[in-house]
Amino acid sequence: MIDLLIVDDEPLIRSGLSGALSQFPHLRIVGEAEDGETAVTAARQLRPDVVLMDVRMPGRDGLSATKELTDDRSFSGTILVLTTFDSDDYVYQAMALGARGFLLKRWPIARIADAISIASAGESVVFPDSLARIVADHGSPPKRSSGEIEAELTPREQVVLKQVAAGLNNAEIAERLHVTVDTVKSQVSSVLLKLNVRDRTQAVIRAFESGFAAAESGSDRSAEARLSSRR
Amino acid sequence: MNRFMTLLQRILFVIPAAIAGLPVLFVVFTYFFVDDPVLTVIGVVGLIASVALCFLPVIHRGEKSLASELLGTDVDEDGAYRNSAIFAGLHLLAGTSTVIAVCLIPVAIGELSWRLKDAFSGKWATSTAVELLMGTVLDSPFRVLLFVVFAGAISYSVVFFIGCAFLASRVLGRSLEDKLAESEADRKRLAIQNELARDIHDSVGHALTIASLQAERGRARIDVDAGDAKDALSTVLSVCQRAQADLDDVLRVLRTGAPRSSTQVKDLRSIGDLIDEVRNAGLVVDAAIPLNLDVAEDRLPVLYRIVQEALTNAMRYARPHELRLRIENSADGLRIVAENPVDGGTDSGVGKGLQGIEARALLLGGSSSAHVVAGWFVLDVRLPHLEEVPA
Repeated sequence: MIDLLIVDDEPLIRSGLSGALSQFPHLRIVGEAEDGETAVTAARQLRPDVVLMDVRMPGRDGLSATKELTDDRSFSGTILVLTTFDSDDYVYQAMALGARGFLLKRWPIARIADAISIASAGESVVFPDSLARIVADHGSPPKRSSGEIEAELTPREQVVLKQVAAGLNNAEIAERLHVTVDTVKSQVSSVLLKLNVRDRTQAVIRAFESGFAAAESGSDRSAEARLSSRR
Repeated sequence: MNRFMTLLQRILFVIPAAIAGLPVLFVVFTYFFVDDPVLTVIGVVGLIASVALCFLPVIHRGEKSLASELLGTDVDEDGAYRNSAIFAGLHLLAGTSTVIAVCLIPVAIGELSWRLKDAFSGKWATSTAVELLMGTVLDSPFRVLLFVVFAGAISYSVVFFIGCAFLASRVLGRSLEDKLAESEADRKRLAIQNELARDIHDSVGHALTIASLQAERGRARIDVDAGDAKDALSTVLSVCQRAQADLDDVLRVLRTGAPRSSTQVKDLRSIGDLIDEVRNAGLVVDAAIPLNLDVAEDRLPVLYRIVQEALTNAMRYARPHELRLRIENSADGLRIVAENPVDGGTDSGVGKGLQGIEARALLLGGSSSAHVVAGWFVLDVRLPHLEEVPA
């Protein structure tokens, strides 16, 4: 069971999402909030597994709420950014602040539900192909160059990072590379450690920022394709 | 191939002028060889007629289309009459020169061969280099004249042939100011297109998102809670109807090129309806709209839009839910002032709605400002009176 908190300033979006998501037995809506301030309070009180966070809201916006929650060590939930358009400037900022991925409000509801499950499992990342472009457009200068990433990681870890950037989960990477899931897990942990990042999403942002993952992700089986194939 | 085409087009461009210049030959031929004054007079009349052609507007139009088709000139259709007449004159002169040059070439060749024959028989030393080169002996005023006419005709023909495209663009082409004005018009058109795209993006795109979510909600809830499902469906319906109206509005602007009063926005009453709607939704609106407010019909949709955005904005951000709306019509134009209280000081985020208002105001030559003063958010939009709406 995944507990959800829905944050959006528009009542019609909140009621639509919560009503529509109520059909999935593994999801439970534990609360709704209309701005960043109430979102932070509700998240601390209700301890949801996943927060669906709109970015632009009156008063306190989704960015600052995301930052406060991801900085809060006692909060263990995952934050997914809700956005109307995938070209949104704020999406990258939210991801950089620690959101695990983002959902388009216009996605079919089954796909939104899938993305929530995937993100809460934490074994793969959730965002459309456009992330590479968004990072290219809005990203800060890379903390590491592509060459530095290549120098730091073993060839095997590089391959794993590319698969992670393509949106694959551990089991899928294991199958593709003909190794065990445990091997993949330890390699992913090693990548996160070496890149000094919190989670897979941050690792992928580094990979895109540096250009390390840009070329391969396009031709690979991406998170987008994977999400749609699961429906 | 390309160069060949250019050459061919230049030749085609000179031919009509050459035909118009034919009377010159007729005059020369009848004067020197037939010795019949009547025929010469006819030739002179023909020549005068050709020159007169240069002053006819219909010929100018022909010149412009020839220049546009064959020389690739970016023609200014409204260019000055004098320019067109000058160009037609130069064109005719070029055609006449070409005719003269072409007819004199056989004469020149004959002379040249005569001189060469002389040269081989040892008399060439008596000629100057120029004389030899031109194939003629400048031993009489007539020959000098012939030489000058021939040299002038051939060099003018060549210069015109090479430079006609440049000349046409300078004399018939559109001026820099025209081009600037056009690019300015383009920019305005683009701004309007962007504004329309943003409209569709804002209203219809967003409405579709909400409608799909609410439809999903209805589908999910129908077996669990029929009342809830019914609510969802009512929302879908109203959201779709509004999006439809918005879309109609935008499409109407697209089709007609300029904002027209839409069926929804017939008079100020529709703005009153809009205000009633948000009052029903719980916003306290203190509206000051003069009963005798006389708004030009073309201004109504914009006014409606701006009021709509202001109301939407207040619905979302006014804390407490309160709005003061004032519309004034003075000699300076329309002024719309919307004020609502905000809690928590200054919110710097300017949403797409406000950007839309600003874009509209700027397009219509007005201005828009939005700022927070002492806990009140103040939107102040000014629209000048209607003069021209950029097409």
